[in-house]
Amino acid sequence: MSTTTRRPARRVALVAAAVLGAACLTAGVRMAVAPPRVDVAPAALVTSAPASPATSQPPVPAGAAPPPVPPPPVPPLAPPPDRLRVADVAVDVPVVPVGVGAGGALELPDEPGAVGWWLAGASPGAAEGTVVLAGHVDTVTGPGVMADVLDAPLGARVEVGDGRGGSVPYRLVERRVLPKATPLPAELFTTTGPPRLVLITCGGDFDRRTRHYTDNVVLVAEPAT
Amino acid sequence: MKKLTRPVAVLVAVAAGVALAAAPAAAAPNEQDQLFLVAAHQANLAEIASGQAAVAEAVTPGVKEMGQQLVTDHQALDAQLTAVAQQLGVALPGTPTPEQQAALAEVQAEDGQDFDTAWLYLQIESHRATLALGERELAAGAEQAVKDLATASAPVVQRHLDHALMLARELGVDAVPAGTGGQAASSERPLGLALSLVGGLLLAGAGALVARSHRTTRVARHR
Repeated sequence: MSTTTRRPARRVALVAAAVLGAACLTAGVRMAVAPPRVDVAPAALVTSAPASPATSQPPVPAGAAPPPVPPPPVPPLAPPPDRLRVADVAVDVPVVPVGVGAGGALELPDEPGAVGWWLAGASPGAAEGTVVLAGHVDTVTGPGVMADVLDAPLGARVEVGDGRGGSVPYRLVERRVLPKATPLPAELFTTTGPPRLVLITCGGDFDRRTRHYTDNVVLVAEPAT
Repeated sequence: MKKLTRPVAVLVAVAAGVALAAAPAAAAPNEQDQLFLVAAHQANLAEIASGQAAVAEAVTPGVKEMGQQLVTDHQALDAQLTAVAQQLGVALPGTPTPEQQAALAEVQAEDGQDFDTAWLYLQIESHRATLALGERELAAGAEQAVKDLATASAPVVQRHLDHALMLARELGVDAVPAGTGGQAASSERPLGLALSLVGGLLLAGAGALVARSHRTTRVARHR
């Protein structure tokens, strides 16, 4: 009597254990063979009103026509930005100018603790255009500064040293994940349009063989007060 | 094109050395005037050499044209500068600085599109340095003829800088390789291995139980 009642229960338990075991094994193997990953969720801050100024030119008093002068004076050269600060994640690092190298790749500073400023982009504090900063999420010698910056929440304050001892404040408003399979959008590198800051690094799956990530992660920041 | 901070410091250092060697003149150019004459002259020589390299090697038509423009403009600027230096008795070196020569050689080591890109960023870098040089002369120079040179050359140098920036933006940025270590990536491998082990044990346990119950059933039947 007891054996007939016990048997179906045991069978159910056995089947359950087998199914659970198979599921664990499948999931475990899948996780074990998956590439390591920098997981960044795309996100955007909903802003009530865009902070873009309608006109970037200072108002000209009426009737103040400039007298004809021979050559227009050359505006003073804006010094390159020299510092990136994100207090929320305790980042305060040097910024150095960088160009573009072989294959059209932005040349980042060798040191994982420094950030590069794209020489052909806008300068911080300019009336229009995008200031492009880029930094390592990691290098062969260790984690890079952008690994910390990626932890900054939307709304975080970002300051860029203007090379004259002052700094220009921004506020993080958006995180984008762009697969490297498609080219980087040209609009990220524009020197026209509303002033903003973009911070570029890597994310997604890390291919241990090629030592490259699958994605670029772009943080967008708008001027703050 | 990798280290972008060197040009100004190097220009100043070399210029200081040469300026000290220069004979004192009838007029009274101060140290800054002498520094400017030497550094701006070497910048002209470097830009003329760069321009010639672009005419010979660039693949982008706009870059080739800009190279020719550099040769023409910097030859004209240097003719004015040499005349003033001669008047003031400031001796000028005959070649660009070793660093300027090395930077151009680095660009010339590239081919095709990569040459054009490297060349443009060298121009952005060097013309920024030259503009800064002119600003320092206008702020700290004494001799009016030298300051006039700085004033006259600034719009030309600014135009070259703007031109190089425009061409560099047209070529754009194709990639940002910003991770090669993998340390920032978190791996699920340890968790995965642990989960696999648990799964394996569960399966093995279930299998063992099935095998045993078969055996006991057989034994019971025999009885």
